[in-house]
Amino acid sequence: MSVIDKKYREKCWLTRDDYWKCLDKNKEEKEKCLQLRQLFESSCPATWVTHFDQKREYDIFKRQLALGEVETDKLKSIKGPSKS
Amino acid sequence: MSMISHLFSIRATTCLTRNILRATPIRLLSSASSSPNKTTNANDHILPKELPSSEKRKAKFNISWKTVSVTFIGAASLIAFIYYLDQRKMQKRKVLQRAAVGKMAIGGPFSLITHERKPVTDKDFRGQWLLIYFGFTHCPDICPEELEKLSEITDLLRRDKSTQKNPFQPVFVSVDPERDTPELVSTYIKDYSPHFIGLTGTREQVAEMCKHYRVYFSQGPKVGDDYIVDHAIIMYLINPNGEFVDYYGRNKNAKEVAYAIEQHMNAFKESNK
Repeated sequence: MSVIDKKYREKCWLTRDDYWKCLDKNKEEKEKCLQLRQLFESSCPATWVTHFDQKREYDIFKRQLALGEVETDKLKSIKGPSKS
Repeated sequence: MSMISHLFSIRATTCLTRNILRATPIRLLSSASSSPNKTTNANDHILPKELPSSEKRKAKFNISWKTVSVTFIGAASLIAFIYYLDQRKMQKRKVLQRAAVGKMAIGGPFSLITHERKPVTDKDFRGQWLLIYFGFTHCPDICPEELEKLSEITDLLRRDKSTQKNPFQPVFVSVDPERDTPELVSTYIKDYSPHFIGLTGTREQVAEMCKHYRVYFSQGPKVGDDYIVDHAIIMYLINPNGEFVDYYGRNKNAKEVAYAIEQHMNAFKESNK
């Protein structure tokens, strides 16, 4: 079974969603979701695991940005050149 | 243009009202004169029954129904003419808009093989509407999502039988020529729709098409034998003449894309009657 198979893909996405739901409940504490993490890692190819981890980080950052929870000095560093 | 038509309509209405006002006292006069035996002396001091010859001539010139109707017809035809000019201008603008999008230098010849190992070029698709999506079979989440969307668009457009003259053909093009053989592509696309055509080829062939279609793609870092291809997430609409018409990104859902395509199809039918 490989990623070409639709059933394989769907199982991978399911384990990923379960893992993410656990993280949501436990405020990103990875220690509390180790079992689900193992299931996730065994159901998906390594490149996909990395990809989904990056996606999660990005989604969380976007959410924080929208809610204004990001520290302003972090934002200053990514701001473009300012008029002086 | 609308300013001028505004002025014209104002002028027309003032003309009209002036004529109506001119006409009414004469009507009053004639009605008064037609009332038989009531030689109302009261009227005499307002307007004489018998007008002096010079006045009579003037009165004849101002005879009501003729003047009013002529002015009215004149004003109406003027307004209609201005409306007609306005419509022509709108049409010209529409044609220019369409031409402007088509002039974007996107698209061009391509030469690949289908998922059934049949060699094809862009010319083989003339007479069909193509919606092309670029992706790869080892894609984690985005390509499956977009292909589901493409499948939904296909179902929506195939429902309408009137588009059969220029049928709608969804196309998947692989940007992973190293791994995506026709067999792999065939297995992959069958999971989404029986109507898809999958295209793949050599690295040169794929790079050539992506150059013409301004599609970025780049092999990511390898983990063992595996890698993810970074690529532009986009669908291109090509008309039956092989010309690029429109593009759709992740922000539009299936219904919105299908609706937009329908508009293009109708416009194409209109201009090719």
